Amino acid sequence: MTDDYFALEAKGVVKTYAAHTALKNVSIAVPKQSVFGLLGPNGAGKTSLIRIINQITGPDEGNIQIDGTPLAPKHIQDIGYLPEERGLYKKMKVGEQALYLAQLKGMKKQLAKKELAMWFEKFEISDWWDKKVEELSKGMAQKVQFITTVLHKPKLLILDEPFSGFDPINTNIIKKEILKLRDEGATVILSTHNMESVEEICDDIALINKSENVLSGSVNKIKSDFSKKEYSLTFKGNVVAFANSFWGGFEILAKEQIQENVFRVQVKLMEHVKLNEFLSGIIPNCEVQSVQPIVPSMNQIFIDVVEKNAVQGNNGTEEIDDNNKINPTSNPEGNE
Amino acid sequence: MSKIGLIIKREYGSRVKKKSFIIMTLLGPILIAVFYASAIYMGIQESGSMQVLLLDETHLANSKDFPTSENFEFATFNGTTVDDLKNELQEKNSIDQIGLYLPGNLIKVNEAKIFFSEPLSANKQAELKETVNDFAEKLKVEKAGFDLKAYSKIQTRMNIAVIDVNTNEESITEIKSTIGFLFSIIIYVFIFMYGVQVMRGVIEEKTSRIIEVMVSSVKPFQLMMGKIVGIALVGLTQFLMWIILSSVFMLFIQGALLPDLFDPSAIASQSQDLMQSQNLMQSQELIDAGENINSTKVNDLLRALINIPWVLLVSLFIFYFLGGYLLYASLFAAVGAAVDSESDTQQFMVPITLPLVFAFVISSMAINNPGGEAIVWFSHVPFTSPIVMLVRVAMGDVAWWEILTSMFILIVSFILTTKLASKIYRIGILMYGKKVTYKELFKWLKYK
Repeated sequence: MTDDYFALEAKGVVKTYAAHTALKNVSIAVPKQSVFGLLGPNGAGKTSLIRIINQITGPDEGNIQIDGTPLAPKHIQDIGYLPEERGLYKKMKVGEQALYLAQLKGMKKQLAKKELAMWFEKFEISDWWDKKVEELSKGMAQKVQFITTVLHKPKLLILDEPFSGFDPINTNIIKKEILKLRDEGATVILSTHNMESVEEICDDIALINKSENVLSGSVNKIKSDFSKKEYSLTFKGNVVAFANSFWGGFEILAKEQIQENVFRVQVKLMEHVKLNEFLSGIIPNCEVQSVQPIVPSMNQIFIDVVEKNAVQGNNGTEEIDDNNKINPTSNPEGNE
Repeated sequence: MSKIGLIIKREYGSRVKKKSFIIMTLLGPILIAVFYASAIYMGIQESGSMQVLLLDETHLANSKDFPTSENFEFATFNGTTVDDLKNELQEKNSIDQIGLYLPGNLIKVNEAKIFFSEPLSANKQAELKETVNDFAEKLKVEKAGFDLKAYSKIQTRMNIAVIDVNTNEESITEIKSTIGFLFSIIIYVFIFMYGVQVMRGVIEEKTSRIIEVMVSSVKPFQLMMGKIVGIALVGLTQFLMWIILSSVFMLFIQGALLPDLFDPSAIASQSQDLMQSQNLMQSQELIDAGENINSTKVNDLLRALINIPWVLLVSLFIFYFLGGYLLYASLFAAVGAAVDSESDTQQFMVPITLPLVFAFVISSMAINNPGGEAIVWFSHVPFTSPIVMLVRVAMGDVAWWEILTSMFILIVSFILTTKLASKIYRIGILMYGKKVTYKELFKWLKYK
């Protein structure tokens, strides 16, 4: 893995304000052409990190590299930033404003005009060009702001809560656009509290809590690491026979009867037991219809890590090892 | 275009397109023009001759004492009482007719009365009073048994010229200082008006939250300077528009109301004569101006206007407006950055407005005492010099090196304040929901 592999690398970033430390030795690495979720509770330090990447403030310690070169003013036009607190000049016309912001990002006026026309058409808002921003609804303004963020084709997109204020239909449109931009070569840093969308579109994440990076890695890997060897199993047969068939190797967390003689159970395997052993143990006693691993949701992982952190104080980054890889399931909620 | 250029363009463009700007830009010259037109109109009205109905209870007045002049034509009133005279005037209610009542014991009580139904100009009042005065003097002289001719010879009205040895010209300080003070007022108002616009602009960017997008594209310093320079250009545009539009309107009014009299070339030659003639009579008029106002007073004004170093004054006006504005604007920007809304600005506005108001007071004092020690000092202190110096320059007693020193200090100061203010600005624009104290502002200055 060379430096070139990462669109953005932050190493040992420290940022202290007068009263408190916003970032304590935070390192993240964002692979190129991926969607990277920057997660964390409110006030954890995400915005501080984002502002440092945007060169709005500087770090006290540590360094940031973009495409393997140290962060410098020339990178400003390679970055598109959608802040959580949206804002446009209220008295300015939509088109004029979008042009202005694009030019500030270094775009030539003619090109910006052409690209804007294309985006406005795509979002079906071409007739808003001469409207003043204050005449737009919140959702409408959000759309305009999204366009102004991505218009100059930044290599690195930093989107802070990009879905807030959008209805489900528009949320979907934005999601698709984000993925499309990634496929076209952009790297996206997504800061959000919407864990569903993290599962849906993020490739990797970093979880910042209390100014520290407490968890990072690929979404799949993290989910498998946090899976607790729990499975959802459907079988036909006798419950008692099932329960006794592999005595001591597992416990039943929940059970329900679906049809006559058909049951669905949630089981948790003991530490040393492998899935195969368990299955060979029970198959003689019942007819297994389906088995699915229960994978924790990102939502659950988030809560678990942050709460554990609150209890234990800080323990530094949780290292993720490559064992135990389990494919993600089609069960994002983690339970049925 | 560079980023700062783009910002300047937006700040400028969005403001000059505003209705309020266009209205202000038109309204100023229109007000001046209306004022000017009414002055000319009253002048025309005045130039007509008036009939004075004379009720003379002394029975001593004759047509020699009350000769027909450019302004007055005297006629003996047919009635016998003051009430008759009043009624007559009230009935006719004409602006061309007034009444003059001379009581029988005129020289004892030293009293006479002028009646009017439509207001009489100060000039005409003065002329009429002078005529009555002369008449009363004549009666007194005759009664005392003096020789009237001898008395006329003795009667003296001294002409005392007040001459500045530097220019060898008659002093016209009053008018000069008034003009200098006028410039002070304009600078004071402009710094305030446009400084507050800078502050509002910053608050607007903060409350609309566009600021975070902006500073991810440009440096906070660029944003602040772009705004300050853009608004300065708005101020200069307004000033220039006022001058141009006022001149156009005034020429138009002159053309319409006084096609011949106010031919610009005629004015020029007239004032040339005036400058050369060194007419001693004029200074006398100035001294007892309140008593005897006539056309020479206007000539004085013209002479003063020509004697004033306009080119120097206007260039210094532009310099001190820009310098003073730049000095204060960055402070206004810092205040805007430190607060969340305009209602929170109060506590930080005091240290900015205080020196401005103080400078204004000082410059009004400078009218009477342009060489005063304190005034010389304050024409060098950067926070007051933009307002004070122009009064001194208009009065023409400032050495060139004094002006240069004052300018230099102003330039250095605004660079320093801009640097300090930009530090507060940079931190403040991203700070929300916190009531900022002075202590905190000083802390921000130390952030790197």
